[in-house]
Amino acid sequence: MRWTLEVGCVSITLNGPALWVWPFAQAWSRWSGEASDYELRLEQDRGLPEPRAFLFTTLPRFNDGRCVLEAPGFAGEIVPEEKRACLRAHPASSIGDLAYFIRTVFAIWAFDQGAVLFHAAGVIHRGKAWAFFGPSGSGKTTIVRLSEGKEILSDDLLLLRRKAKGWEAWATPFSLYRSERLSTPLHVLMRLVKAQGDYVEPLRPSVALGELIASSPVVNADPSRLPALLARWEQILTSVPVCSLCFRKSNAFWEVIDAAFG
Amino acid sequence: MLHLDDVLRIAPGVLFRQSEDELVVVLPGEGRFIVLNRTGAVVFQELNGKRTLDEIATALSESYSVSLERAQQDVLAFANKLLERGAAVKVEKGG
Repeated sequence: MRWTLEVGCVSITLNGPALWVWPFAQAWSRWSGEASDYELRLEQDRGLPEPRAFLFTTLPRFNDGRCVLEAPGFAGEIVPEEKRACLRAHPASSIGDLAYFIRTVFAIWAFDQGAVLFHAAGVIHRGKAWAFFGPSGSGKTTIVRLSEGKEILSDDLLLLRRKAKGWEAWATPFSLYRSERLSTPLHVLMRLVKAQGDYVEPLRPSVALGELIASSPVVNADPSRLPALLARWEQILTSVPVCSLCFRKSNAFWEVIDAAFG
Repeated sequence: MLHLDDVLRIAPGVLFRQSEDELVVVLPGEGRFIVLNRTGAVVFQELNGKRTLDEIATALSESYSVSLERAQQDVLAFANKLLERGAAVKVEKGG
């Protein structure tokens, strides 16, 4: 079975057994696209040992732009310059394992297409996207929960893509949330800090740059893409402001944001 | 533990960018980073695989008008941290 995933003009055609492709075609139907020349093959391989752990516990290894994901039960190879990726996996692999591989392929391909997959929660407020980032535990999920009544683009991963003026944030399927809109102009980047009160603080540009690189999954582990990743974030920061949002567990922070950004 | 006659160089794959008065040092492999202040940035960029830590400390002591002893202590402590974080590697003597 073949099905194409498309997010913000970045598309990848999945090709594999219906048992593995169909669930994605159903669950991610909002991101169905036209057939792409980038093919991701999913192959069942009974010759591999049964998986001992989830694939997401395996870190990608890069060599000359190619990426390898290998663990008991899995043999994944990603070759962006040839627009192909393949995951051979034991039939006992879970859909979550396959989704992790697809996410890895997507992160690299999106980056090579001029976009960037961003580990951030995206909330639509006054028609624009507010991206909240920070390491695990910084409060992305909490921010989403406290933003009741607002449209959520994602609670975990956004795709940032350049447009004629500025950047736009795209909802990705790698999240539990399904917003009405798929994309919105990116307005502000906010580094989350749990605090005793709600306030907005400036974020030193050096720290912002480092944190944003740390929040760019997959490609930040590739030495050959790191210089371009730095340059991309520097480019984004020329048109999108960044600051810290110190917040406590109440939705009063939106008033603070409105006061700071009008 | 490093000594003053040791020589360090910036680790392969480490990237850095000046950002206002600070230096962002991005460590390869895990998306980790460190931010160095002006003095830290000067020392870091002196890690060229040729100068000993003592030579760097001497230059620092002259440029910033601090005692040589203090500069040596600070450079050693800083170099150990860089080594620990994977931002620098030790150059083996004779290598």
